[in-house]
Amino acid sequence: MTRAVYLRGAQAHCAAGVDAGAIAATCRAATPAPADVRFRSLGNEIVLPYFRAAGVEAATPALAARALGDADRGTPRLGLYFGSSSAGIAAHERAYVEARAAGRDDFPIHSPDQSRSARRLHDTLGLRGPYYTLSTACSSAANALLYASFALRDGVLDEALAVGVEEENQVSQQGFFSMMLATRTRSRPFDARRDGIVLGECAAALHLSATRGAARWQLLGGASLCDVSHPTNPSPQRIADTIVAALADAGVAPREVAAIKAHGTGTRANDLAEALGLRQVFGDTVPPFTSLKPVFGHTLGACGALETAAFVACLERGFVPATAGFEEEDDELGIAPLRAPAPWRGGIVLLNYFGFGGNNCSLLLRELPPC
Amino acid sequence: MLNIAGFGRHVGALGAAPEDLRAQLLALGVSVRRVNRFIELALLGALRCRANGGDIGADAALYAAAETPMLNDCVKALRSTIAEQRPPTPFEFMNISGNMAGFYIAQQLGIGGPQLAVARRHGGLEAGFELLGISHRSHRRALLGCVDEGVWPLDEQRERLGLAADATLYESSHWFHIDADCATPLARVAALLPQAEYGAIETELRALPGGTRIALHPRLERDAPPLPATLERLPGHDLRGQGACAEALYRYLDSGAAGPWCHLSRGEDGLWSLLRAQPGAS
Repeated sequence: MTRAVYLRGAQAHCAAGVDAGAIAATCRAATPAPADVRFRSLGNEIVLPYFRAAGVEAATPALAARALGDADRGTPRLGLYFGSSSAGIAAHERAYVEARAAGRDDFPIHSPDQSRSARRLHDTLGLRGPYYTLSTACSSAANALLYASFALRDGVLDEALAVGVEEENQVSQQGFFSMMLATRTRSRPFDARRDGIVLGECAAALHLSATRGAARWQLLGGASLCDVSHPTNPSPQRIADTIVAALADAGVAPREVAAIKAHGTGTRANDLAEALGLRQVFGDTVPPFTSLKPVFGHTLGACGALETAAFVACLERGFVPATAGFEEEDDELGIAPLRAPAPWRGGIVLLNYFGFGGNNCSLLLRELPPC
Repeated sequence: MLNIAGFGRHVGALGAAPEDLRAQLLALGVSVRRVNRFIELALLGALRCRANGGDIGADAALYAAAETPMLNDCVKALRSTIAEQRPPTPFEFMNISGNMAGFYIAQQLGIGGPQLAVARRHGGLEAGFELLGISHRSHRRALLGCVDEGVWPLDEQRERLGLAADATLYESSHWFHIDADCATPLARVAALLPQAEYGAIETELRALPGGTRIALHPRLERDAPPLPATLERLPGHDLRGQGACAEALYRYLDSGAAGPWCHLSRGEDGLWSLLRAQPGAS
């Protein structure tokens, strides 16, 4: 059995707001200003920009319920696919900080369970179908979408909820700082002066269904492949392989892709590999492409859900967003993202998501003609 | 159903000091630098699976199930950032990614298909089988594992897991090579999607051939549901954590997979999971 998979609902809670219109408006605006995060490291105070969206954990059930709309939550044929990179580390961190502040001689992480967030969401929403927590670093939620679509396509499930959640935590902030991948200024994907990522937090949920209803988008397919060349730096070849596999899975020719949402982290290595990979697939006619990370920050494992929801929100409002703050082309890349919003006239879009551990994932969405 | 073409494991009872897994990897001709114990453990089991089942295939998928991947390094990272105000080192941090074990296995075994880390409390292996069953037509081969890492000090770990002070702890790494085109599979396995109602499970159990051997997750051993009299209940084993189902399947395969078999578990969420297998020749 092979069935079409439709995107029936998308909701997000991020630094740009909670409403699709507000999120799209922020994507159209100039470079948003992130907040600060401060921590001490080896005796020094470190200040990094950060895209904060308070109350992510508390907001998740409500936004997931909104995304599901009137779907029957009690059916065992509705699956939950949960993607997160830090997967609950923020809660363990808060508990450890509180215990230490209270003077308790405590140890980190009680009752460890990486699936706890998904299980709680499953319980809160009253779901009765299967649930999965997928952890593939920054492509976690993208893989959640992809595997949800496989289940719908194969007829194993009829409805699916793909959720990405990433909460502020010190381990991630300090870890990226330690790896010298965090910029102290702002994220500049594909820019010659790019020097790292700005982190962010969010929750986002997408409702996929095997029935169209009022859906405007179809998830045509995608692919997820492992790149074993380096644990943290993707290779252009494997990015190209993943895009080619995704196009084949979706039955789409490169010339049919009308726009691309790049992963576009703003690090030297990622953007170079992605640009070269895109050129390898599309040659001299790379479709208009953009990165949304200057708007939301890099929301790590959740970006697959947030950026898919936000990109669709922009396209539905008639524009492909520019890469906020992009100024200076990098000759080494040979291509440049959109400097200004471009009109969207419908068609197929490619969305790229890459993660540590060589996890590359590409998805293809098609805007449907009105019902 | 999924064809099992090979299997392998590493299981060890935890002693006062960690066993030297690096030395065991070296004995298998593998030297991997700057990795943590979880990765070593995962790699060791996967290499033993390959040794038993042959090459996995460059286009294979690789799914690693773990309830708490990289727990040692997560504990270390929290202590360093919060208690010591010291950022984790680059390798400590990047190795925290739950999927990093899969990266090193894929690198060592030449695997280039999808590489996922999947978690579901008391049902990680079953979740992996469910996901593989869905995407299996696009990936004819796969390596599916379940890894449970030991964390020292053991007293702290027992408290972390809510276990008695004298409970024996284990670490384990079970791996199963799945090949849709295998001409002589050892067994064929299928996972039923989790069910909220036991009635649905009972219907499945009643449909199994008479004499099917059933292994229960340790959580069910003392409070087993009513089982059809046609099933033959297997004795339990010592792995009581997330490796329980994987160990039961390993034992079934290791005993020659002579007849039909199943494993029943129930998570804290109340959902029932059923993994069933039959001999490969049937």
